[in-house]
Amino acid sequence: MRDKILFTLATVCAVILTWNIHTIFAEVPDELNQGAIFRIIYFHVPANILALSGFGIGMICSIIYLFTKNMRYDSIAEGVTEVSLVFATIGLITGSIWGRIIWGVWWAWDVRLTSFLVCWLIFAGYLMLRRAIEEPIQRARLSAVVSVFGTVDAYIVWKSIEWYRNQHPGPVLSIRNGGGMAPGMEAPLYWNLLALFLLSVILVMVRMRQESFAREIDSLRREAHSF
Amino acid sequence: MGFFHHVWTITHKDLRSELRTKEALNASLAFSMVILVLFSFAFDPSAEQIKEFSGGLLWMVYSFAGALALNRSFAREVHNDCLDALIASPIPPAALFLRKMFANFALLFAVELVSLPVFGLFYGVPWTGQIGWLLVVLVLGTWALSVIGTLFSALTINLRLRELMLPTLVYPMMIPALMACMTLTSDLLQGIPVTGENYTWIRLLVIFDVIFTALSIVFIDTVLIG
Amino acid sequence: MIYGLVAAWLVVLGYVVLLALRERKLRKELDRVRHMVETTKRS
Repeated sequence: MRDKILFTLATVCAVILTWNIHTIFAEVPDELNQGAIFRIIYFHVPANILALSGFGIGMICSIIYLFTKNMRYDSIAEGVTEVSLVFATIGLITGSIWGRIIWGVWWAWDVRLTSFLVCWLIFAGYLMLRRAIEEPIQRARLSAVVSVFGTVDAYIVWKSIEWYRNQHPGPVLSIRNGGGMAPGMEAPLYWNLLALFLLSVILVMVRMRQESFAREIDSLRREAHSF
Repeated sequence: MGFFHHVWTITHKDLRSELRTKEALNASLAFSMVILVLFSFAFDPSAEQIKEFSGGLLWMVYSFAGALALNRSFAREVHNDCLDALIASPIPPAALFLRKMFANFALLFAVELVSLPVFGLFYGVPWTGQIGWLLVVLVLGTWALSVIGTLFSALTINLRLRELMLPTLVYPMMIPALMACMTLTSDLLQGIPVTGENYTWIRLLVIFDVIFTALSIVFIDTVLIG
Repeated sequence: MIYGLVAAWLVVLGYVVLLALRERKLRKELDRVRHMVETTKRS
């Protein structure tokens, strides 16, 4: 059943992505100021949106775990955070390449780049912490606390740097009152967001299945040693 | 009232035991001096340049020296099962956390107060100009470092790679507070008063301190006991 | 620009490969432990 869901999601995702890539390259015209490179926005922005939402979802699952002590929520939190870290990496890399072409530098200590890097560091620390703890319940408990602290901190970092000047482009999506993109150009971004969201769901499901294998191995080992 | 009595009694005990041996105090002080000297080899700045990054330099010294002291804060209790005894006692975990935090705060603040004139001496930076605001920034920044550091020290006690995990977790978390402290300190050492835009950094520091103190008190139970 | 997209997809691909390798390792371990439990039960 689970495999069927995975397969369906993967197909839908692949279809949307292929169709979208066609739209992005063939139909959407080059942007006035930025030229061809601007197309990177169709992956950069969805990746970043997914990464940040993922960290938030990870925090919520961590809190639910702390209340219910149900290991399933710990698995979800771990899977979601790991996949969000991958998307954050994509966001940083695409952002860096975009910056190189537009601003001439591979990196700039600007608002969003810096806060994204800080988020990345915090949650890379979360994953490292998980690797460092062997006992599953202690691991779940401590990483849940780190997830909560990390997400709150990430939010503070965002807000704090927002008070400061920045050189990163301001919001252009119409939902954020940017109104900076022509209507035809905005749609592929949302389609890509959907496609990448499906991809992230698939990856999280795979990751969670691996977590349940690991838990089964753990309990079988304990059973074996108890004889 | 009883809660704060607990906190005070044990902070007092912690500080007294630390003052007797002065291990952490001496180590942190020595370390901060060493870093100050090392940085002087790393850069050869002019008087103007040094004032611009004085804040950054100073707070890097404080964070590194701080990590040294913070590592020991809960780790010290692990020997002879002192930590288990403390947890089993009727003292609420929040009180335990606060007293550790106050003790760390006192230690770090002492180190900072000593390092500041030394820094001013080595780098020729006048630091007495806006001493009032400077002390406010030091207090707020040290509070932030103590809160985060103490909680994560409690979190990492039983880990194999404790000495590595603590800085890895603490420094990214501290970035907003450190950013605020560094900017404010640089500005204050250059003689720029705290107004308008600068004031937002003070607000940020206060918000940071309040939020993370509250979160730490809420979560210390989970971290220490489960 | 193409480098950017290629880089992004390489990261995703790298992660998928990492997941696949991890899955293979976990399945092997699971089979090994199941076998170990069965032999211990029988003996």
